[in-house]
Amino acid sequence: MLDMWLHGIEGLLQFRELAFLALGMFIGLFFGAIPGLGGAAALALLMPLTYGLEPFTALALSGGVMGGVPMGGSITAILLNTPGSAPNAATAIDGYPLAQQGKAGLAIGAAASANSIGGIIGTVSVLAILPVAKNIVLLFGPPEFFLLALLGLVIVSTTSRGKLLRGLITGGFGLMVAFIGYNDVSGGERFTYGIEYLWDGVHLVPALIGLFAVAEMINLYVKGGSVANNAASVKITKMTSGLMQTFRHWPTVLRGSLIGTVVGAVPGVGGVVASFLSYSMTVQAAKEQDRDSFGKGNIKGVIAPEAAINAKDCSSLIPTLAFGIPGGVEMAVFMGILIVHGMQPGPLLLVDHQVEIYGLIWALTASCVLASFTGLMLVKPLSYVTLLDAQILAPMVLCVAFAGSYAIDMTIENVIVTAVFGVIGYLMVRFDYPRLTIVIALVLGASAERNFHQSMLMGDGKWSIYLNRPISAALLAATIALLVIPVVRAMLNQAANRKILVEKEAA
Amino acid sequence: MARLTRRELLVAAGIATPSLIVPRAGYGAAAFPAKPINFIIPYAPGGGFDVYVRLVGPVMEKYLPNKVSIVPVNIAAGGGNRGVAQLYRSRPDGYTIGIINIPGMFILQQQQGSGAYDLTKFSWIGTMGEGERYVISVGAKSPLKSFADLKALSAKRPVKLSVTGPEGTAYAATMIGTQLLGIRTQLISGYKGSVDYVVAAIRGDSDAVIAAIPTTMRFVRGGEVRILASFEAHSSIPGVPDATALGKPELDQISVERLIGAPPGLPAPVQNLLASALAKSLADPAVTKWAKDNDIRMTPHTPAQTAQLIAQQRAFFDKWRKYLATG
Amino acid sequence: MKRVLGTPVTDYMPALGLLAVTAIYLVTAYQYSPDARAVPAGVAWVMMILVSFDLVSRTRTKIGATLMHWLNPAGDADKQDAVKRYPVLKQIVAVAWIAGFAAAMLLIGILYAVPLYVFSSLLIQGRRPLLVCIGFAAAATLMIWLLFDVVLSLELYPGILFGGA
Repeated sequence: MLDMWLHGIEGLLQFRELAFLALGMFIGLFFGAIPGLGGAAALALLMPLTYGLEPFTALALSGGVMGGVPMGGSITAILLNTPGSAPNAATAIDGYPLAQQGKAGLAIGAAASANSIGGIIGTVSVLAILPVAKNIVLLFGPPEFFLLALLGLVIVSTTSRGKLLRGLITGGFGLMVAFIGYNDVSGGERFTYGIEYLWDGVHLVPALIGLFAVAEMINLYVKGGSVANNAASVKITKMTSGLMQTFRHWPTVLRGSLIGTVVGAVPGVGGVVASFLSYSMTVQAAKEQDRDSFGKGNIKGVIAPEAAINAKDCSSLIPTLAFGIPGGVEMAVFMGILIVHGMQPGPLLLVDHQVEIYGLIWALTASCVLASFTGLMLVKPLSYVTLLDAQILAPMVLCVAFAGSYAIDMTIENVIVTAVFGVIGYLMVRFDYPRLTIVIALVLGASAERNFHQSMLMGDGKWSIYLNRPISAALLAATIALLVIPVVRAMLNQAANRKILVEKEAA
Repeated sequence: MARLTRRELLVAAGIATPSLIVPRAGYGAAAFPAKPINFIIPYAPGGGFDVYVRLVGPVMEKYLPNKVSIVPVNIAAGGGNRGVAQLYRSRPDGYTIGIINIPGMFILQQQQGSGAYDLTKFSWIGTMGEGERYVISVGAKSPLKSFADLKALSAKRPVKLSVTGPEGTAYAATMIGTQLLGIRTQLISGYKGSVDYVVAAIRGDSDAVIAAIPTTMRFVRGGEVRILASFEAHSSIPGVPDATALGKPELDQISVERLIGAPPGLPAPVQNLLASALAKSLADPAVTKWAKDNDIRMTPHTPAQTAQLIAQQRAFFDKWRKYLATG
Repeated sequence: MKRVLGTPVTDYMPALGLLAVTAIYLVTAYQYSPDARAVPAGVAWVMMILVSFDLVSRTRTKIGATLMHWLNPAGDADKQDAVKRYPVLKQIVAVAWIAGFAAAMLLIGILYAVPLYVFSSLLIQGRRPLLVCIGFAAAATLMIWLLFDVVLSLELYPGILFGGA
């Protein structure tokens, strides 16, 4: 196997391959930064170009694109609260407040290094598990998937500190929206109210562009001024300080990378789940006094999702390559490129095309690191965006956001969804409802319901199906523990306080 | 054409200018094509239909005069409805063609009662090879070794079959196939896409699965899946009983067809030119090699054969209407 | 501003709106088969309860304060008074710009809506000199056209008035 790894590297270290890798990385970076456009659009654009290339070169190009996208996405998420691609929405939660404090450089620097390290850890894990990857994918059937989704929803909704009730409400609203469209299990459409567009459900990316980008632009319109409140502090940001942050918070990086790797390997779960889970788990793991600063510009809130996104990109190759089940649109388009080059995703791909696949994995990692360096170079000039006058910035950003939203699948209704969710997002900020839970509910709602019904069909309507399978039982236990532990902890705290109080009175 | 839409009026206005200079009679096969041809795919990039177009499209360019390009246009909304409707409404000038999923679009129309297009009225150009037939198979670890085992299980309890949502073509194939074969079923429905529900059978979510041959063969080669019976009239897989052997030749009519069509009223010279370019590209080594690797038969259909095919399919699925998208 | 039970009327609006939406959702859900409605209706019923809690917790009554303290401590009354509030009219205007832009895209298409919106927003909202407005409008349009039309060769939406479907 080792010689296959080396063959993969060897193949990549040719001038032509490296040139295409770099080209792909720049395109990925650029497309990643523009809301609505992402890896899928970039790969679809490049697909005809790859016809003329050797399969290996085509993979170097694709790997370059996929490695560059997350970095591009994090830049706009931090500077403008506009997630360039969906998973970066989690980065915006703490990255944008940092930009508002004039620390955009710090945040981008941390994102860049977290990106690289996440990508490398993801690669190492994928290389380690690739030989047994097939078995891992087969462990996740409908019961496991349903409980995983449930666990994700619980983790995220217990994250927003002091906003449990409103977090649950936005989560519930997200679920209600997620059920719109085709009913996969028993057929027919639901809650479409005669609108053809809604047959396919409310599309996620236009909704996210609305919730984050448009909501913030409305806020800027109202507030005036610029993104950063303090012009002086923007100028002194150094790119190296952000870089160091990542090394200082290595447990966060490690946790994020591992979550990314695991989530990526589960078929049909996208990067949004990886980044939001990583963010939530980091908040949950934080020390008591540290927790309140999340959502207000905690650098760990930037590192956690960024590490997860890139690690996930690597491991999501597993279900895509081994079975041909893409985890998202980007992977679906990438599968198209593979097929056109005579590499049919399926159990035999990992046997027949080992050199190409290892080459692809290396390309993805190399592009990740390269994109981070490029991102770091851009820190300083890009930071000035946060000083632009809101009255100029907002219209320009909105133009790109709306056009990008339309471009996702050339449907004008996307623009309406973006506008509606922009207003909803603004109201959520204005009336203090957390946005974390609505995103995760939008992403997981429909598949959670589908997998629930499928599990019940599999188990002849008996609930015991969730207990009879080891992984699903473990997931169920984890979910219950997560719900019970905070309550127990609170009760113990209260008891301890009372004891101290009693002792004080006694003294 | 039934009625002009605003879009057509606009396009017509744009095209009117040159057509004033070039007389209407000169606007025929000799001049065609003079600009890029849009190839509508009513699904998102990356799916099966998309791959066919992106693979065959560039080859087809070679066989068209005037070195024009073929631009894949993904219009994925309303489960494919919007793309097909837009194709139907486009100007029948040969610059807009599209790929159509049969019986997928029958199912969609029946379910939604969409009257935006009439599937039998398109100007057909051909097909992307032969329609994909189905096979019934089980995961490699399944105790079921033969079709007889499956029948025996069905006598004991309903057989669990994994399948896509009721809007999928696999759902219709499974419903009709099991009905014809007299297998009692309990469907585990809702899997996304044409691969996931086969993997579900490998994983053991279900007892068996009815899926298209190319998809199944991928897993057969990897040793993950075992085929019990083929729905083909004459089995292409050695050692597997076919529809004739099972005594149900009708099974052969269950297929997924990838039809290439243009808006109704396409001038015959343009239609023939496109049809011959498509037929030639399906015989091109670049395409045939890919097809062979993936167990796909790229036998071309003439426009007349394609029209006949859709009429035949229409009749077949009308007969089984009650099993299409029963929600 | 008018207050009900000690809280500004506007603070009830989101919860009331959500309650109405959920009610419509529930009514719709009960038109579907039991299988199809099971999960959505369940979620909607839970939502009715949660939103009602939210509504009550926003009142400055004893029960409201208790609910807020236990379920949503971040919304406690003493923390709320510190939140900076912007004039309602200003917020409506901002939302109207967004709605106007989206409507313009729908009606006259992306390539006309972009310059129109950027120009008018800069002129009316931003109060910039005429030349600056024209410059930015042209730049935005050029950027969108180059990126989407030229590079990506996507057909930008032409607008309902100009033939969009």
